[in-house]
Amino acid sequence: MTKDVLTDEQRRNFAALLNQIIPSCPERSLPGAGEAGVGADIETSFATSPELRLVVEPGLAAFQSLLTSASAGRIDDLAPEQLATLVAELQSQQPALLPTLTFHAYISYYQKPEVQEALGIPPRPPHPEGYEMEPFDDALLETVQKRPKLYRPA
Amino acid sequence: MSEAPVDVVIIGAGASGAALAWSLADTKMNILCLEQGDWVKAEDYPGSGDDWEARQFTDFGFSPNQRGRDEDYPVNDSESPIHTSMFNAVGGSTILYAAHFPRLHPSDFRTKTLDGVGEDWPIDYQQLAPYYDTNERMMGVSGLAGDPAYPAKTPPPLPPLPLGKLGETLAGGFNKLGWHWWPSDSAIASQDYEGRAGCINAGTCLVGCPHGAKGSSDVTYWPDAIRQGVRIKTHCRVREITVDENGMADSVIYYDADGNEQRQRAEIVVMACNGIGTPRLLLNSVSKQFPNGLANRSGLVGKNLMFHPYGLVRGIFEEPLEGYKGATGCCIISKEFYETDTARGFKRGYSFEMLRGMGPVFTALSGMGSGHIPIGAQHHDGYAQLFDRTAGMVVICEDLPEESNSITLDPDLKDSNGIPAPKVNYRLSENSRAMLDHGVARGREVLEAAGAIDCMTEAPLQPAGWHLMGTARMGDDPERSVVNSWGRSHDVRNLFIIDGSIFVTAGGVNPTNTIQALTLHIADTIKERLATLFDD
Ligand SMILES: Cc1cc2nc3c(=O)[nH]c(=O)nc-3n(C[C@H](O)[C@H](O)[C@H](O)COP(=O)(O)OP(=O)(O)OC[C@H]3O[C@@H](n4cnc5c(N)ncnc54)[C@H](O)[C@@H]3O)c2cc1C
Ligand code: SF4
Repeated sequence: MTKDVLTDEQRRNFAALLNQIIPSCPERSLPGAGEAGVGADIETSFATSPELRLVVEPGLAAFQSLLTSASAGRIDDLAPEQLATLVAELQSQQPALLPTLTFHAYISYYQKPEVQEALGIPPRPPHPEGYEMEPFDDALLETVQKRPKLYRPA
Repeated sequence: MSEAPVDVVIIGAGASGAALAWSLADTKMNILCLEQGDWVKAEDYPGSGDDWEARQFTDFGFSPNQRGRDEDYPVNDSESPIHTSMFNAVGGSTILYAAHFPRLHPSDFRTKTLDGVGEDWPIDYQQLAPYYDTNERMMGVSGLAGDPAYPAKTPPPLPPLPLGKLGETLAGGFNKLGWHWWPSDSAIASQDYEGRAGCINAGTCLVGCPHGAKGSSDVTYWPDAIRQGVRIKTHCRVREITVDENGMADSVIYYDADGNEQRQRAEIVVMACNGIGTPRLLLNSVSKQFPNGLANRSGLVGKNLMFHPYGLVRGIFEEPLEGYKGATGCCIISKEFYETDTARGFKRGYSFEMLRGMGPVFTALSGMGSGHIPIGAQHHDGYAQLFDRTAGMVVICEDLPEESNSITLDPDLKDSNGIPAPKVNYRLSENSRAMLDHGVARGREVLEAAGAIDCMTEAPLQPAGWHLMGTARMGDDPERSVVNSWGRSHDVRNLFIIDGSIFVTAGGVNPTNTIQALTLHIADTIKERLATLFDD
């Protein structure tokens, strides 16, 4: 499946669902998972992971029909509590969906540079720059160095 | 098709295959290594990409079943609480290893005499000591001399890796309890060394080191061996070893990169496929002389499989620990509970090895598993409680040899060349269970002494089948062992085994330094005896 599998409306709903998994947190400058573009990453993964698509596609269809019955399909019309109730209902209808989405959402979200920056770590891969560390300090070993030998001769 | 005969064919280019190739290279024999995997180039490693943690679930996973690359063969470990981890490439499993590089203790070679369990080895610590020295120099080991847990030994060539705030916090816990700890011997260059760049504390060691600081055998032994004329053929998967009418190995049959069957004749065949790949190949090499598998008159090929059952203990701390900095596995080792004390309710013992903290993705997934990081409104509070606030350790238990723990050929599962896959038949012994429980409880004590406010534990750790030992063990008695004290098969006098299969007992430390020291000892013995190598 290509990245164009979902319609714009489905994408909007998917983003809202992902924001229920990882909501935004303005005090920590953290976006919600939907806002951060996790949905696009998961959609791209469909191409290499048919098992993921097998769980997510029917899950999103079920979400769509729950939305249709609750608000004629318009997610923006729902109050936050109504959306939360809908997600709980979705969980009972599609038990594999949320654990699967959560796993993939966590992977995608926490590798985003803007999220890492908000967490206070350098927003880059570890290589090639690496990190500075102080060299080993022998003073910590003072008590251990005074111990008699620990090994059994053989 | 048949290739021109060679003097020595080595099957497998991992830790042991590389060390043997390097040591035998100065004989100027015609040496060829057949390896089912490929070279891993610096740019292939995940460490320079945003998705470096995620790739541990795909093409750089520990399990060949998870990776499913062409060069991986499947392993049926569905009936084992511990699952197999390995890598198939030039460098073998050292591509992924943490590079913890301890030696066995003298007592590990004498468990039967000292404790009435396992078997004694046909060699001892003193005999291996000079080979440990050479290996530590070749692999570029960083560490500190003077550890009271060992007899005096040659200092490692490089100073220890930094502990960082996390390591110092844990060292504080050990110091409070008065327990032993020492900076780990690590096959990671703490400074530039022999053409390798010094470690930059990037912490991606378990998905490989694009910087070349970690001593995987593709960057240590292999370049020198190749300079001296040893050849490696990659993407060549060996199916079986054939024997002549005198019961001597005469060739290996393999599939080349295009899937074509080839025959390589050789005077000497050396197996270096690891503790699972080697018994698999021997059991698949059936002939009139060896109906139960090559070199298997003892019936012990595949038997006595030992892992090191691992326990994981992680503490949650109130302060950030900068745990994302530094070599993943290599920080501190403790031998407080290594030697037997029967009052503990088990024989033999274990090591503790400290772990760095988790990266951002692993923090989230680990918190998902433990329930600390929920979805929804509480998500970020849960995450903030864990991120950069965990530090922990693994408990590495000595597993004792038991014939029922074994590798057999799976009747149905096959690799992409149609070669039967190995099946792991393993159960945790009562001794190992008691040891794990003891280790996890003591691990909690250390973490609490270091200031942890909560602990998470898992034992045995399912993916920790990365130390593969015992399945073609060495010994003096051909009825009770597969190879002699210098790796030569009792049954086939030009067949040698050099990988972790030949371990007699497991000790309670990571095995690679010992695997390679044994390999160097075997190579030296081959060189000393060249004129009479196949004599009784
Ligand atoms: C995640 C992880 C972490 C680890 N951490 C540590 C650590 O910190 N310290 C430590 O001491 N050890 C560690 N280990 C274990 C260490 O990597 C092994 O002990 C070591 O590599 C074993 O060496 P070996 O030569 O026996 O086998 P390997 O290094 O596994 O090499 C075997 C080679 O044989 C090849 N092969 C197998 N079958 C065939 C065939 N039929 N035809 C052709 N080629 C074949 C394979 O492709 C492979 O390249 C770790 C391992 C893993 C996976
Ligand atoms: S921490 Fe050091 S050894 Fe590990 S991957 Fe980074 S540079 Fe390599």
